[in-house]
Amino acid sequence: MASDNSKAEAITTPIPTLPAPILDENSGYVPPSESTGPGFSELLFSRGLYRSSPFRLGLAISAIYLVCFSIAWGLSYQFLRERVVERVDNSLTIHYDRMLAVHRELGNDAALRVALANTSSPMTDSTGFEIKNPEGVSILGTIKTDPMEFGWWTFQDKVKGLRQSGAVRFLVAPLGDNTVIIARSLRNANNLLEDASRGFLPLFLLSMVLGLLGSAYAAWRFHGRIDSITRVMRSVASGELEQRLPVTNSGDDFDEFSHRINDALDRLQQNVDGLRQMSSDMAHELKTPLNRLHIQLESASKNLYEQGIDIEEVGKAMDEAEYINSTFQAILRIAQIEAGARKSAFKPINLIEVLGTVSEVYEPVVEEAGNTLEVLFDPTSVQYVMGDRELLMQVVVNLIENAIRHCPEGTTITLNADEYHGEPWFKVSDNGPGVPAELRDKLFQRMYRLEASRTTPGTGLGMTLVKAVADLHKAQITLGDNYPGLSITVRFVEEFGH
Amino acid sequence: MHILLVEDDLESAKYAAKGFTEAGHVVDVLHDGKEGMVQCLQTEYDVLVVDRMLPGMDGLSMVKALRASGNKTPVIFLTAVSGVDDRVAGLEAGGDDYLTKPFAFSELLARVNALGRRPSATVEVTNLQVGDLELDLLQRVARRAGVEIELQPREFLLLEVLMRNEGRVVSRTMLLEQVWDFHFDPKTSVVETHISRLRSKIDKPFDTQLLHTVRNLGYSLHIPR
Repeated sequence: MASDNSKAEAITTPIPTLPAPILDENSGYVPPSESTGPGFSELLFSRGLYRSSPFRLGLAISAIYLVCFSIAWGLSYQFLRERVVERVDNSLTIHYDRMLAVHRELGNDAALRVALANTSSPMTDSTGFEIKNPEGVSILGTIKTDPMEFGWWTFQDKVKGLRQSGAVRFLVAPLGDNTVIIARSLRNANNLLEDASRGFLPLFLLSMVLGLLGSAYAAWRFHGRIDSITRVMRSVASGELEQRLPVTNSGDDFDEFSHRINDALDRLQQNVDGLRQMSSDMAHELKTPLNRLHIQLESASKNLYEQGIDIEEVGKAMDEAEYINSTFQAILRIAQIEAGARKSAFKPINLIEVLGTVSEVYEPVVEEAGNTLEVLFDPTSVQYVMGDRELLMQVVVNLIENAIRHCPEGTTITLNADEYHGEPWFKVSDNGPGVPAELRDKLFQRMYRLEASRTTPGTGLGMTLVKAVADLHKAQITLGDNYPGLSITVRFVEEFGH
Repeated sequence: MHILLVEDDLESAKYAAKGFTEAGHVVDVLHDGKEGMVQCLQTEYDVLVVDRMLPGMDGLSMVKALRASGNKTPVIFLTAVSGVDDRVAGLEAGGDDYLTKPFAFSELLARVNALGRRPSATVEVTNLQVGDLELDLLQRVARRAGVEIELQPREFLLLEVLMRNEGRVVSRTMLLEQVWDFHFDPKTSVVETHISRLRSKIDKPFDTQLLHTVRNLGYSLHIPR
């Protein structure tokens, strides 16, 4: 896990003595994000939209759509244009065929006469003709053209006399010895194409905009569902195992995914419940004989005492029974805390008041052990955290008792508390032998005890409990060097009121 | 005192009953919650000692039902589970004290004694006196042989608890709970240290010792017998 490395790094970072606890951004803490998802309009103008995968997908699809549309439009434009020219050509051919027929059946003069008659009544605004003699001189016609070879032509401005300007289609062909040129403006046809394009463009833009809005909406919906999943999973992580992912019954892939996760959560909850039931059963099954053992030893000790006999082993056996019990008790308590069950009873707790009470109780105890308890926080100040007073008290007590147990006489144990950027923290530090940086992580391991402390009493569960309580409170523990000694900072990262 | 013990573990019940009898109490033993409930409605007891886990009707429901019927007999719960939630649930159901298994019988006896002789709530005590030691609860002043003794607020509370239980043993855990509100077992000598401080103030400068240590059990404040 990546967080393991960063945690190790955070721990080896030297801790500035005062006033702020170290606040290492790499220490593995992820701040809780907004608990509710953004609204659609908020999302639309946020950076998050462009990071959203459905929106990106939407953009990509729109781009592909744009390219395909352009190609299709280009091809059909070309096709349409060809069809239009073809039809113009057909009409020109028909004109030419008529002239040719007259010429063939009635001779050249008749053809010219017919043509001459046509000049006074031009075919249409867009059509015209000209007949040139073999020398290329215009004999008659409705238009004047520049010289052209025989064949089909399209030119822009090679003609005078056509009412319509623009591109013109020409048929240049022989009519006996003469040359006939029939012209037809392509303007109407082009207009048609342009109109088609003009009508198409807004439709195209509209569909692009709708496509983008659609993908933004999809992104928003997607975001919403991802968000609700994140929210549920966060609650589950904090111990609310009964939470389940929402299922919309639309049968989409999200539902499928949610169903599978919910199945896994069901299993997890069953296992945890089973474990809880087992530890509760175990507690009952083991505690009863433990109770009898205690009772019998006590009875034996009392009877012997009354007979004036004092057997050392009986006292020791009672101590052992007591030790088994306290270890057992601590394991059950840690299990209960780790299950997160206590969280429902959280109340606003003044951290300063808790520390004040503990320091008042422990000041003489620390003194008795030949050490000094130094209080740096302002006892009249307030630092509220959401929490369980009893558990927080036990954390502070465990930390102070640890310091007393593992430090030689003459050690100063320091208690401090304040807030940093709205996050309350407290610190228990000493100037004793300290703990080597590489071993600090291990302090939180269940039953772990440093080699040097094997001989001192304790179950090795004190720090595990501290960690469990801190986790329950979303508090972060940092072990640091106090130059010399150990400093333990507990920082409450969860916002007050959450 | 007349004690009713409702406990399903026969061995523990037998031993506790023997202990109570030896301490001069009269004790009835039952092993079932429903029977316990019926018995309580028929007989007036001074203290009920009720196990949380019982066949028939669990201890919590039994006491809830009793309280609902108007019975105010002090109740001490015995339990194998020791979570705070469990303790709170016990107190909310109408329990007056809570003891986690395994416990020393002397601890149970101390608590039963303390509960059974609790003065009725209507009498407001303002002044406590043991020998020549006086505690003025209104003025928050302690005096011995007329000499005013300066006490810290928590020391005052410690002395108050001991004086209210004059002549009876108050266990370490009872003091931790009542004076410091600690519901866990500290690994250091918190109680011993504070007792020794208190002793140096109320006993050391005087001829007779009032605050006595009871071996393996706790402390007792009384005039030497």
